[in-house]
Amino acid sequence: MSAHTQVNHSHEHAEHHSHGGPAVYLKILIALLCLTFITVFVARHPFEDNTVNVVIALVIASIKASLVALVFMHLKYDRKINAVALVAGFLFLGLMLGACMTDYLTRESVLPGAPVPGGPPAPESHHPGVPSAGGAGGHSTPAAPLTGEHAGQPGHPQ
Amino acid sequence: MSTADITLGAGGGGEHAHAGHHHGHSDDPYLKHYFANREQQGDTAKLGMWLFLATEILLFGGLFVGFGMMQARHAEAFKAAHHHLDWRLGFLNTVVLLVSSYTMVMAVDASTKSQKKKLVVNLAITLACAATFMVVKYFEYSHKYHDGLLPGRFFTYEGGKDYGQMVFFSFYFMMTGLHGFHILGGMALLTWLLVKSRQGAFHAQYNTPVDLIGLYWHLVDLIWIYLFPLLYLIT
Repeated sequence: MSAHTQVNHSHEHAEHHSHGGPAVYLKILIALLCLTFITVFVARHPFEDNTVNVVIALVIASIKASLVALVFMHLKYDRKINAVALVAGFLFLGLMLGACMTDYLTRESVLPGAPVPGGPPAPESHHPGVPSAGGAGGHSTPAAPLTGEHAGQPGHPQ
Repeated sequence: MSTADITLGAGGGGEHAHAGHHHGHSDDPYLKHYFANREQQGDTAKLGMWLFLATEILLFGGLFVGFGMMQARHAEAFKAAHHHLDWRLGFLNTVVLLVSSYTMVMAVDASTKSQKKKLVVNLAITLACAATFMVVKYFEYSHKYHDGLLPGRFFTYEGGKDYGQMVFFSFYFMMTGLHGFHILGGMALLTWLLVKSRQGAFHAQYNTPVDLIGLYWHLVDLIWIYLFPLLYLIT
């Protein structure tokens, strides 16, 4: 009987060795730390077009997240149904992000006169007729002191 | 341990074998009667955890989408605001969380091999990393508090009241705050795991709590992987 359980134990050990194991985990940790260094290095040396920096940062973050999910969270070795839950979560997040951003970034072409995305906030005190997308509409009291700063800034659309 | 097993087996030998035929798996103290076997039980628990983690992604996802929109709206102000964050502290916390993820997965590995001491040590390091993260967070928050870089109407920064920066710090506190509460929750769970592990509750036959809390901990790390570049390194 004890011999039988012994066999069972060693069988389970063999099974769990396919779950990465300490050597693999250490390699992944080193890879994650290296990628973090790269992220910081790239951010400290910005490109001319800072969209490139944001894209690089997000791509590296996604690689890191994939390593964590696949190895540390065992998705690579587990039943695929677990991955379905995670991918579904990210898929719907992508839908939410995509739908919101396509709306937000195309407002100028659809609704001329609407606030220009990416620019400084429209000073409500100067243009009371333009609705603010910044959500300041309800808070009329702090609007004047908060936006006064932008009056002299270059690149103002008005 | 093995002698105790043998004695037990010898004592109730005949009756045990007889009863075993009728009850089947119910002899297994770690198996709930409504599961066919341990593998099915473990897979079910894990899938449940993954579904919870998917809702967590959507919970944080809403904040990420809002942050993305406001970043497009107040690009210059966000760029200026991130200079109030010390990227070195964010970097330190990133390293701390990555190391804690590693020790967590080592703890899970130790639990599947019934290595009690290794399990306890790795859980303790993970907990220490979590505490370090919160201490760093405390220094960051108190610095913001002193400068008046606070969300909404509490934004009283003397260097100029800027609407875009106020929005940035609203998102900063909501995102890192929600994440911080997840760290605190994780610390409570890790403490519980540590106490139970010292009692020898987790071993090759049963390690589901270690496994599931490990998954939770990795997700908290995974969210920080996105928070760090977005909040600290915007250019």
